[in-house]
Amino acid sequence: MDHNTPVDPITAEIGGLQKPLKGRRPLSWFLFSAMLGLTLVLPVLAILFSPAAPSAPSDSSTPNPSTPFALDVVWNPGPVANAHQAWANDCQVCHSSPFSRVKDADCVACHKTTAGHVDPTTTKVSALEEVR
Amino acid sequence: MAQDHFLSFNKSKYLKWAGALCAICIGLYLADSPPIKPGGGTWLGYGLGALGFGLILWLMAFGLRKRAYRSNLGSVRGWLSAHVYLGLALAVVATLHTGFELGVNVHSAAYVLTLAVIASGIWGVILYVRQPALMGNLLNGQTLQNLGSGLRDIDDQCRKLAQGLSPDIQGLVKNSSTGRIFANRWQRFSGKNPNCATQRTVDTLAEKNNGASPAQRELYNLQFRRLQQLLRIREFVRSRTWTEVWLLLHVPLSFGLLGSLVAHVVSVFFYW
Repeated sequence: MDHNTPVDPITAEIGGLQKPLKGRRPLSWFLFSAMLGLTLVLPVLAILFSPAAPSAPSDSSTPNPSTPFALDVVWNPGPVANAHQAWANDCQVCHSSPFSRVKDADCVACHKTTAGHVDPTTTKVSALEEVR
Repeated sequence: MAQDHFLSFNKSKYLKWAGALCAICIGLYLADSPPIKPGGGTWLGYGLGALGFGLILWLMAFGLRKRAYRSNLGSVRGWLSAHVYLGLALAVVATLHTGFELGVNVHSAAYVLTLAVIASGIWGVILYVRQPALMGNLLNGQTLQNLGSGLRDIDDQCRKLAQGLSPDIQGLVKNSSTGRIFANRWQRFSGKNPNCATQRTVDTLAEKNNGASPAQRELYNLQFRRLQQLLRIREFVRSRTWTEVWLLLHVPLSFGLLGSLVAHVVSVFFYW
């Protein structure tokens, strides 16, 4: 047998057919980074670079500034209470510091001058008992 | 069957586990009466979320186990069986975790991606159940290269037979042996090559078969066998190509899910 004989065409073609389709790895990286980047990294960066908020705004007319481009709104799991609709796109009005629950101070920032939206003496407010 | 099928592995052990898991979760969900409404933010919601998160990480680890040829951590078949059934159970766990609430947000994106990965997984199960041979990458117990050398053997025999026959018959044999399985890469998806040289040779020989010499009839039989073999190879490559298309969907979608899952979990606690 001549050692320089090229691989016969059938073997060569079958070899090519056995190569798997390309793209699984790059496509995986793309989708992973796209989802993580758009729904986590971008909003976090926007929050970090939002103008410094006063620690406790004095009244409801000067709430904490909103996140640039409201990028954190994709985190909102559902409609906020009717009375709070005006701040539905300003998450930081209530969520003033990351990884901690909404503080009483954040509520009082507005509710010092505004009464509660439901009267707890006449209505059972189950929302206030929510386990979180 | 000598070995357990992946769907009935070990007396359907994982089907029972997954069924029990779903039953427990549904039972807890029905028994739970959260103060406002069910969802990810109740204690049961957190529990189901943690369970779903763990399931997703474990399901994705199947990709690692599949490649760890030396691992003694259970057979790949057993893992696949568990992967399929617990993957289906994840649909129940994730749906209960949402409390049946959907919206345009990162949380629902993670849920929709979860269901998309599971749906693509079901497609994969159907592909492999229809053609179990794809799992071992064998066609009738033979590798594609074996089948290729079968074609070459037929070609050698045909060349010898054709030596005593007319030049146009020799030309037909040569055309058939140099013809390609697929003329272009897209034919892999349809499994058909409409311009098959062997098919043309078989057709032409069939026309000349009346009153032909025994050698020429034998040649026709060999070419006919070559054509049958080619059709089997094409069909096999077609099915295998579709399992690859399937993986091209199932795997990247699951990584998209992983990205949105991390975003979902971090964001929930970022704005607690």
